[in-house]
Order: sequence, then structure tokens, then C-alpha cells
Amino acid sequence: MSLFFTAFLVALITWFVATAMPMFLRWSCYFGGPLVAGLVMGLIFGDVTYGLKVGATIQMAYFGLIAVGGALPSDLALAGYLGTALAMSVGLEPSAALTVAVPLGALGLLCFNARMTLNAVWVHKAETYAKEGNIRGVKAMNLFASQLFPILTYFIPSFITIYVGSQGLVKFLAYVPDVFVKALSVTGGLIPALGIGMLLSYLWKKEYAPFLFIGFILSAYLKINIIGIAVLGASAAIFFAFQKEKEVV
Amino acid sequence: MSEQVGKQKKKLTRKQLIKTWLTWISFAQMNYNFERLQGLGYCHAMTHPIKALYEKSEDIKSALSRHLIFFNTESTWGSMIVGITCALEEENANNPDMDPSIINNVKTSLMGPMAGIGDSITQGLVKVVLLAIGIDLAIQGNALGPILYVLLFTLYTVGLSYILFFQGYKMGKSAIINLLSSNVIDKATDALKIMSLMIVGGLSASMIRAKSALVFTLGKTVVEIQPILDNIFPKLLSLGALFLAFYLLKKKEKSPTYVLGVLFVVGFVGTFLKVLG
Repeated sequence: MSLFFTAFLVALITWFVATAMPMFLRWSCYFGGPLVAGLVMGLIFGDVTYGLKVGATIQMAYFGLIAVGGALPSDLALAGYLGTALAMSVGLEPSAALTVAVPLGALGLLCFNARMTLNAVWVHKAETYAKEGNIRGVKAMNLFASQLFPILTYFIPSFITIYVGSQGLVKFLAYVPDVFVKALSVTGGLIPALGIGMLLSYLWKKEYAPFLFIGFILSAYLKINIIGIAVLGASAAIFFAFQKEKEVV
Repeated sequence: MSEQVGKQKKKLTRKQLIKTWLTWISFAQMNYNFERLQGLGYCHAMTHPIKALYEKSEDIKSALSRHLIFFNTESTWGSMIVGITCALEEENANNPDMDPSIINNVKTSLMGPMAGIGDSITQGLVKVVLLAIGIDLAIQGNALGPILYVLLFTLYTVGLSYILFFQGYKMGKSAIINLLSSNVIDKATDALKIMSLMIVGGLSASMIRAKSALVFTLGKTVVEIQPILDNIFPKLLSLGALFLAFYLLKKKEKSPTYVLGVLFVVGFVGTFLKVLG
């Protein structure tokens, strides 16, 4: 696949997931952007296993990300789809991919905020149509006009990042000393602590703290995988829900 | 008498309701913006009942304008509000004495509570559990990870929003008041917290990579620290990294970006000093 076509495809997917995808699908494909991108970009770049590992590694950093009231701490379409694609196009180790994705996610907030500001224009246009009783006009504003600015703020930067950025990054990486690459990989291993830490502060309740340690021991000592822990956790949750009900009655 | 027979009661068909629900869960945030957030998306969904219920151009105009106001909620749980609004519009079309401003009052007063419930369950719990399973599979190179994650999450958003939308329509505005006054939601959130905390504990062991590279030389024997740590308390450093992040976020109330900076410093300094590796 030519670089031009790859860049086009990556940019198209990034824009689509960020703003145009039906909302019921966007819940999973946006908030799990990096994880899903691992598979999608794996197929595009022809190495699914590599893609999955890169995507899953990036996803860990954004594990506990919660968007409330239209405010986002980081843009997951750019960190996920563009980040995975950029890391794969220069052949980065999965553990070092985060160092590409995290800055992209932060820059992505610019794309996000730009379209959140500009798109207000279409509501005013829709208001004019509403006053004329023009249902079709109102629909067209929501369905089509709404995508004009996102194409400018998501598609174009993503295209440039892959088309120009990947070649520049390859040259740059050739000059980076080994200890630096090693440090990137070590940091990449630590970053999931941020995502999981964000989630922990959201869920935190002193009385339930023992369950955190039970989960930790199940994994660290007994090597039970996440599905096993989820089933045990669900059992505990159901048990305690009924226990509480009895107390109330 | 004859006049009443001639004025048949307007009722939305199931097909029209499904169209409304589908438009809402698909396009609620197409034109997401800081001024009205989901306002235009809401109006788009309501175009179906508006077209079905009103004939007079005056009524259509005022109904369209009505639904363009500021609106923001969690779209899956918020489907219930759209269902309630359909019932209210139906009432408005049949009852000339109804004050249509009630419709927006109901919308505005319900969007906050539904966003609160929806965000904590959808993003805080469902997403986390499914992501954990998905990441676990994907990191081993298994494509089922993302596939299962998307399938199950979509099943949740589509299934739940469908049920809530029709519940909302059936019960009208009493719907959410019923739901909020029962403590079902509280109990479910609490129980799911237990499950999520166990998963968070498991994830911190399996996903945070932190190893010591420290080596001591005692006479002729070389002592590596990490294997000793592994014997006493495996993944101790992973747990330490989690508590460092948690401490900074929760107790010190630092921003995620600040914590990210701290982790970068720890990673780089640790590697250069050969403490971490």
C-alpha cells in the first residue's frame, strides 16, 4: 500500500470515529479507541499481532479516562487510531508506542475544542430552518454540515501526520541513543499506573478497599487472568448486594 | 359529539418510535458543540414524532424550535428522556390546553440525573470491565479482544437504550421519578464498585510493568534485587506505581497531566540511575 493511500485511510478512520460514527458504536470504538485501532491498523499495515499489542499498550494509559459534560482530558481518536498507525508505520516497540500516542492525544484536544467551538454555527443555521418549518434543513445541519469542520480539524492533521510525520520520525529515531529508548520503554510500562490510578480515584470507597488487594493477589500470586477475576468480582458483587438488601429489611 | 369522533386521537406508531430512538442513539452527538451540546441531535431525533403528530405549519415551527435548546446527557441512559418527550409531544398534540413549555422543563430537569447515572455506569463500570477483558486478550495478540469488546459494549448501548426509551414512552414523565426514588440504582452502583475494584487490583498487577535493575556486589557474589522481590512480594513495584499515581490524583488533587509528567521523570531518572530496568 502506498504511503499516500495509507495516510488517507488512517485519516479517514480517525475522523469517522471521532465525530461521524453512529453514537451507539462510538461508545466502544472511541473510548476503546486504541484497543480497536490495534485490530484495524493491524489489518491495514498487514501485521495484526503487532497492531494488537501496540493498541492494547496504548489503551492501558487511557484506561480510566472519563469524559463528563463534553469535557475530555485527551482525544482518544488521535491517541488511538493515529497513535497506533504512527507507531506501526515507524516500527516502534509496543512498549514505546505510548510516547508517540500520548502527545498526539494531548494535541488532539486542539482538534476537539476547535470543532466544539465552530460547530455552534450549524445550530444557528438550524434555528433559521426551524422557524421556516423546514424539517429537512434541520436534519441536513445535523447530518452533513456538522462534518465540515471535523474534516478540517481531524482528517487533515491526521493525514499530514502519517504522510509527512512518519518519514521524519524514522530519521529522528536513528539518532536517538539506546539508553533513551530504554527509558522510553520503562516509562511506557509505568504509564498504565496513571489510567488505572484515575479509575481507582473514581471508584474509591474506603470500605471496599480490601477488594482492590484481593484482585491484586489473585493476579500477582495466583496468576488468574482478568476474565477469572471479573467472574469472581461479579460473584462478590452479587453476594454483597443481597447481603445489603437483608440489612435494609 | 360528532366533533370528538372526527378529531381522532393522534398516536405514534411503533415504527415512528423506533425511528426516533434509532436517530437519537445514532446522531445525538453528530453536531456536538460547546453552545448547545446535544441540542441539534435532540431536535433531529424529534423530527420523526413532530412530522407524525403535527400538521399545521405553526405547530411544526414551534416544536422544531423548542427542541433546539441546550441539551446534554449520557446518550444511552438519556434515551429514556427522549421516550418521555415522545409521550409528552403526543399529549401536546391531542390536548390544546397543555402548556408546551412543560416539555422542555422535563427535559432540562432530567438530563442532569440521567447523565450522572449514565456516566458512572457506562464509563466507570461497563467500559472498564469490558476493556479489561479486551486488553488482556489483545496484549497476547488475540484479535478476539477488540472484537468481543465492541460487540458486548454495543449490545449494552443498543439493548439498554431500547428498553429505557420504550419504558420512558410508556410511563411518561413519572418514569424517571420512579427510577430515581427507588434505590435500585444506588445498590447496583455499589455492587459494581466491588467488582470494578477487584478488576483494578488485578489490572495493576498484570498491566503496570515496573522492575528493579539494582544489583549489589557483596564480595564475590552478585545480588540482584528483582528476583528477591519476586519471592517476597511479586509485583510490589507495580502496586507502588499505582499508589503513587493514586496518591497524587486523589490526595494531592493533581491533574492527570501532572501525574504523567511525574511518571516520565521517574521512568527516565530511574533508568539513567539503573534503579529501574
